[in-house]
Amino acid sequence: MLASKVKNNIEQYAVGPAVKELCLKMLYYFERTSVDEVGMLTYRSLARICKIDDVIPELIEATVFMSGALNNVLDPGFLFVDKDDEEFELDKKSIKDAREYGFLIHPVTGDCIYDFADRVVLYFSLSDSFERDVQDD
Amino acid sequence: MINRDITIGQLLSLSYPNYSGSLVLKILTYEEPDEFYDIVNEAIEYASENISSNPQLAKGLNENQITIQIVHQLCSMGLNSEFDASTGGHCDITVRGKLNEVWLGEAKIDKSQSWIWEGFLQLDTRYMPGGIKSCVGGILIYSFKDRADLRMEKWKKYMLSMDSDFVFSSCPLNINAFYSEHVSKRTGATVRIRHMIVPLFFSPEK
Repeated sequence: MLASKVKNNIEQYAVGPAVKELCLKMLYYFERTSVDEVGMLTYRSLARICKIDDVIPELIEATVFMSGALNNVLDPGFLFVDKDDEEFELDKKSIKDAREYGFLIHPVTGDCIYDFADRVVLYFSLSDSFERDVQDD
Repeated sequence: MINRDITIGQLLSLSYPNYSGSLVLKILTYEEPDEFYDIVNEAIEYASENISSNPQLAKGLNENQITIQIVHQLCSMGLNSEFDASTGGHCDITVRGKLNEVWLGEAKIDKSQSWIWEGFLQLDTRYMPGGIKSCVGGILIYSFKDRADLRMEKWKKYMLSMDSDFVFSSCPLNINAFYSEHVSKRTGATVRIRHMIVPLFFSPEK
């Protein structure tokens, strides 16, 4: 039900053929792949799903389109990778605070991380409402 | 693998045709109604810039036609936006967030100050419930007249002449936009409205 609504939204509102095509490829993949298999989606994995070689601005626009309240297919998440390559999940407030104050507080050491913008990676997961919808089908 | 993926620094530095990396990040990190309202205002600002950058194409369009273009652009950013949705009447622009908050907008062609005032009253007393998550919105003035700056000054003075209790503040997004605050007659909540002009004057001299 939600998937068909999203498909209509993509066809009606996604701007430009590239964004439209990327959104449709993602939707098609999410519909035919089990929720567990979809798992965590980085931009590189989304590029693979969409069969493109690199992360292009249109792919980012497509994820914004799929994450907003209009479609609510994807939930964004953030991973901080520290200098020892340890990964820590961050909540949205940490990102906003870091942007406001110019540094991120290391979740374990408490150090101020000034180059946080180069150390925080975006990823996505399927939203609860979309998961429920796919499972119902 | 993860640390070779897209960072927020890369996301911010890419250039997008329709909006900025900063707006992308705001959309992806919002979790409070106030953040949502800021996103809507910024998105409408982008939509307005897109339309006013080609004013010759807007000639002859009516209020609804311009508003539909704006709503379409908001939807393209993933915002749940509707034209002419029913909220106590038919509000021109309704944008709903993920937290059940709503932003309501009324659009008016700049025919006269009294015409815009009618739109303001419709928004305030008819469409806006004035609840905690429904007391924020905007007035969009589509102006085919010159000097958008003076039109907005005139509009602000007109508002004060109709009700001296308005509290005004400037808008960081656009020098020709401003915010007004007043008390909702329905609920007593503070209603916050962004007033903006879409400058469509087009009279090339050569």
